[in-house]
Amino acid sequence: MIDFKELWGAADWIVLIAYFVGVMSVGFVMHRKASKNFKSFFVASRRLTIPVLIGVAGAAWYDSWTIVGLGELGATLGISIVLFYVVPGCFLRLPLALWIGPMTRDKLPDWIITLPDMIRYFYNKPAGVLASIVPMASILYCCALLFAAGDVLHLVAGVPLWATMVVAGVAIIIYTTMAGMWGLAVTDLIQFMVMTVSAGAVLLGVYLHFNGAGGFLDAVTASDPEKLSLTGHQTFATAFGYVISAAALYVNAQSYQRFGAAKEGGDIKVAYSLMLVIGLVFSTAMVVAGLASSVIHPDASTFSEGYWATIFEVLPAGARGLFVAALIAAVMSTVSADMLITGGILVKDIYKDMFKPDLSDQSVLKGTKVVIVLIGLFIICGTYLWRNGIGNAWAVIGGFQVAVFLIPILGGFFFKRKTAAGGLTAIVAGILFYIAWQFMLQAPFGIPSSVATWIFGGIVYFIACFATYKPENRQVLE
Amino acid sequence: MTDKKTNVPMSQEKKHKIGNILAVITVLLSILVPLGFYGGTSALFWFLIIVNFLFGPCCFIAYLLEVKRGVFAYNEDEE
Repeated sequence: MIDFKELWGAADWIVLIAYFVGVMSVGFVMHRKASKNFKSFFVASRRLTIPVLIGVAGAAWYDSWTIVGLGELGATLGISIVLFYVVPGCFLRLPLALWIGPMTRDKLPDWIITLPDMIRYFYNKPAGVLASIVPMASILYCCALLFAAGDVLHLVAGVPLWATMVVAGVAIIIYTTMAGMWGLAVTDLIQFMVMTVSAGAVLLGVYLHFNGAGGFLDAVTASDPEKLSLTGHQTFATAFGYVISAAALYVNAQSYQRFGAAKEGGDIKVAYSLMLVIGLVFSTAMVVAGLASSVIHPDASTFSEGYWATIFEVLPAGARGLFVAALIAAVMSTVSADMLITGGILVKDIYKDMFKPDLSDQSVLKGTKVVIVLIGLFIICGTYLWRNGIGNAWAVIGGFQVAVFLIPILGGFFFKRKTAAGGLTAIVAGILFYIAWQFMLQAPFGIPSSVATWIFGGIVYFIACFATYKPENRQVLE
Repeated sequence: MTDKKTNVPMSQEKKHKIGNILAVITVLLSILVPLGFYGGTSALFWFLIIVNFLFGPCCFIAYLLEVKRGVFAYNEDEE
C-alpha cells in the first residue's frame, strides 16, 4: 500500500487551502444580501437562476456518498450498480425536476418558505409541526458526513481527526451564518465545480493508468468478470432497496427549499433536468473509479484505503488535493444546507409558530443564526464523541421520515380530494405503524418498514380523505 | 437565462420546452450509458471525462455572466 503522506505535497495543501478561503470569502461577500430578512436568508429572496440552481441541485442530490459510497458499490458489485441504482435514481428524480419542483415555486403561496410550511398549507398546523421532525433528523446524518470528511483528511494528510472536524465545522458555521442561502448557492456552485472537475481528472487518470478503456476492461475481467455484467452480484432484495432509497428525495427538505429559492418554475425544470444528465455522468464516473480501485488494490485492508490509494496513484500532485477538496466540498454543502434548514425550522416553525407568534422577522433571522451556530457546535461534538450512537439513530430516523411523509407530500401536490384530517391522520397513523412494524414486529415477512408504512399510510390517507372530503374545502394547485 | 439575440429574459414557456427536451436526453443517456460498457467503452470513457471536466466550470462561467448582467443586483434595490 502506498504512503499517502509521502505523496501529499505542497500543491495539494495549496489547492485545499484555496478552496477553504474561497468558500469563506463567499460568506463575507454575500453577508449584506442575506441579512435583509428571513426570506432573503432562507430562500435567497427567490432569485436563483439556472446556473446557480444547477449547483444547488448538484449539492442537494449528489453528496459525499456519491463519491465514496457509490465508489464502494462499484468496487464490490461492479457496473450493475449503474443499472440498479444510478439509472433508477435518475428516472425517479425526473418527476421532481419536471413537475414537483416547478409546482413548488409557481403554484404555492409566497408565505411558504420551509417544508413544514408546505405540509401546513396542504393540511393543517399540527401536520406541519409533525413535519418539523423530517429536516431536523438530517442533522444526525451530518455528523456521519463530517466524520467521513475528517477521516479521509486524517488518512491522506495525517491531520488529527479532531482538527479536521473543527476546521471544516467552523468554516461551515461561518459562511452559513453570515450568508444563508445566498452564500450556500454560490458555495454549492463552487463545490459542484470542484466535484465534477475532480471526477473528470480521476477518470482520465484511470484511463491512462490502464492504457485505455480496453486495458481497464481486461483488468476487471481478469479480476472478476461478474463485475462487468449489468446484473452481476445483484439480488432482488438489494436492487429493490436501491430503488426505495431514491424515494428519500421526495421528503428531502433541501430539495423543497431550493425549489423555493428559484426565480421561476421554468428555471427549476431546466436546471434540475440538466442536473440529472450530469448526475448520471458524475455517478457513473464514481462507479468506474471504485471499480478501478478493486482492480488496482485488490488486497487493501479496507475499501477506503484501496480507493484513496487508487486516487493518489492515478492523479498528479495538486489534483489529489482537488479530489480531497471535492469530498470535503460535498460534505460541507450538505451539512451547511441542513444546518440552515434546521435552524430556520426550529426558530420559525416551532418557536415562533407555536410559542411566540408576534416574533418579528428580524428576530426570526437573528434567532436562526444563533441556532445555526449551536447546531454546528453539536455536529462537531456529536461527530467526535457520539458517532456510533448517532449513526444508529440516523438509520432509524432516516427510514422513518421517508416512510411516514412520502404519501402526504405526494398527495398534497396531486390528490384533488385531500383534506386536513386525511393528511394528519395518515401522518399520525404512519408514525405509529412504523414504530410497531420496525421495533415491535421486527419487519416481518421480509417487507421493509418503509414499504409497509407506505401501503398502510396510503390506505389510511385515502380512506380518511374520502371520508372527510367536502367540495367547498377543495384545494387545487392551479 | 436570456435570449442571446434580443437580450430579453427567456419566457417560461421556452424554459419548460427546454426542460422537456433535457428530460428526454436524460432518459436516452440513462439507456446509452450502461450499454456503453459493452459497445464503445472508449467512447464512454471520453464522454464521461469531457462532460465532467467541462460541466462545472461552464456553470460557473454562466453564473459569472449572470452576475455581470445584474441578475442578482435587482434584489438589493427591491428590498
